[in-house]
Amino acid sequence: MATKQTTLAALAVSLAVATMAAPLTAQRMRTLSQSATVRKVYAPIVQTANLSVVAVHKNGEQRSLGTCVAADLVVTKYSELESNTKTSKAAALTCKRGKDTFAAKLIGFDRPSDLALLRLTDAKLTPVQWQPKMPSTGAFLASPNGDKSPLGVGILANPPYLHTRAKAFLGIQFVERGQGPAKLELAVEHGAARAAGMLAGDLVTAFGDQEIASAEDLRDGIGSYQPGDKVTVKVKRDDKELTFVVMLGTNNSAPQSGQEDVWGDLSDVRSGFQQVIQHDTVLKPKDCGGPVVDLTGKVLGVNIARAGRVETLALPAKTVQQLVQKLLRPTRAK
Amino acid sequence: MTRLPLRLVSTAVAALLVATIPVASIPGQDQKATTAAVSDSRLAEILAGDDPENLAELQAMQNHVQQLVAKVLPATVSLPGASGVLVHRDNQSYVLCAAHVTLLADQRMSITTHAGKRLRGTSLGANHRSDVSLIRVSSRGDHPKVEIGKSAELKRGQWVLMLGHPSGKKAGRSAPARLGRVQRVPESGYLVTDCTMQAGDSGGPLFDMQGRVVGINSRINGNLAMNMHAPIDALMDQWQELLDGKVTESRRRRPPRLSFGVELTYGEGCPVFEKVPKNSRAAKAGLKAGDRLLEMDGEEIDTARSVRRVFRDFRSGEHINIVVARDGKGVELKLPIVTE
Repeated sequence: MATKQTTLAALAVSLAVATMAAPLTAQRMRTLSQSATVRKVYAPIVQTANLSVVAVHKNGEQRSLGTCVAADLVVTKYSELESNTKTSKAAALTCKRGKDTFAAKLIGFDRPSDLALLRLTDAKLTPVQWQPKMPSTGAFLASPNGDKSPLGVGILANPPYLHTRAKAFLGIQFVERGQGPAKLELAVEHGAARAAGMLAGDLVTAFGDQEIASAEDLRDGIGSYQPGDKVTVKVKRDDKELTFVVMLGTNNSAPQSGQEDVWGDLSDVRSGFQQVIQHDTVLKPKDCGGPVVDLTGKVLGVNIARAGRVETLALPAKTVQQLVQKLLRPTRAK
Repeated sequence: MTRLPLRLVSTAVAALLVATIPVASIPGQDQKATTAAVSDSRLAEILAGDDPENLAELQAMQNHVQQLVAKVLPATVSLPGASGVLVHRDNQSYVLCAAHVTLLADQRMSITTHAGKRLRGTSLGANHRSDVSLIRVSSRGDHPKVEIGKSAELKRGQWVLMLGHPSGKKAGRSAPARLGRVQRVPESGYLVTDCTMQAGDSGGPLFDMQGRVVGINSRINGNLAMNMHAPIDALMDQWQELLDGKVTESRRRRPPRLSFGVELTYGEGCPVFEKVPKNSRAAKAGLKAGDRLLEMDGEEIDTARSVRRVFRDFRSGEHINIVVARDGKGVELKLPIVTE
């Protein structure tokens, strides 16, 4: 208790000093380019887009932001909704905008793009105004979250490009490769297997609907899935048979040792997209799913991943529109 | 010394973001009309470090940055897993790079231009102390180039543009542009900006708003606002040595431990100066016993590690701005730095 109070008191003092002496304040800001002062200038720019941003909650906890594409339709980042929930109960999805809370239902998703489509109950929200024209590199962008100032600002880093498609990863190391048994020597920290509860020493006996007899079998099994897919894995641990549901990650899921600290939190699913817009706004993984606007205030795309220390990725407006159309079409039965 | 593509330092510190500068009134939506309203001199002021204050100023700034990217991107090159920038000097093309990228002299270097053209080059000298190096381009032709600026003229808050290839060159992706501001211009050592970089950006250029290269991407730590570039002056000062192929090793011995010359006690909350001898230099600079250290050079302080981390960017004999808590008030002091 004493520690907390001391720290708070100290902080309060330092803030007070900063408020008193304006010229000194500028010296103390940790990042000047995305400072509150700079972001505040974007307030009138994000005003319109703010009407179309929701916070997506699952069981009362905010998972991501959402972008309103029709009066009762919201797109968001799929894996942030699904990621490794331990409860098997049907999850209650809600979308919040200001004081309003709407019940939401997942009506479709596209795994490669990691985009989910939600339908909101009794919602009459304002859909976004898309910006079909891609500005040239260096264009100023803002990522609104419903607050007066955007949560981040940045620039368009390069023209949209085809993002590298990534392989699915389970995040494990075998005791023995090849024809040896699929026994885990290691479930990598932050890897998909570890997140689901698998441990070193587990012997994998089934992966999805495939029976697994060797490490090679499992490797091939993983290769037939995409990052973000959920797979049921059966393992033998101390003569007990256990079943896990694992959401497969990407080859970037487990940051190399030491890099986590310098990169900050990254999105679990951060590759496999097709066309992406890259910008230099620093966002948190749960800030994805919201729109990114240019200086006209129109929506250039939907933030879909924090893929690196600097690589923030967004799906272009056109891609999102096409995906929404595809997801609304009642074709394939699930 | 830890550099980008090799190993990465981990020193995450909680951010302290404070802003109190009032923002001027914001004009309406008539963008074209308002853009014209920003004079060249006002734009120059902003680029030199002022905060943009309204939409028109943001637009004027954006136009400038877009033109700047188009101007300097062609000269930005990729090396395997790293970056560099083309310049011309005495009718010869060179790539300015980081010492931790080229490592040694007389190595064959494969250079890929923005346009996708492969150039041959040979590494010349490298200075591992300042992390700068030079590559001579042997492929003939009229290669793109940028002008060389002066890092000594940079000011805190000034806007800068950074290019490079984070995580190495990716097919179909041009070098991502990052806009930031100069956070710190130390008298010696690294230039610090908030242009977020990542392994692979090493050797890439930092430009001023006139498109002159003023820094070479060097290293990062856990603070996203701390991106360190070798100042271009360090490279230009050693031009002849680098041209001659001289490789200067980094100092192997540990750098001297820096301090305020008085003891800091670490415990709960911020560290305390428990005893401040009357005749100490710190006392003469205004420090009193019982002062709690809140900030050093704008960085929030909590642990011994955070103190060491800030000292890392300073040298003995320099002065450092600190904020201490005294009788419930914050007091700003400038203390001399000494070797322990």
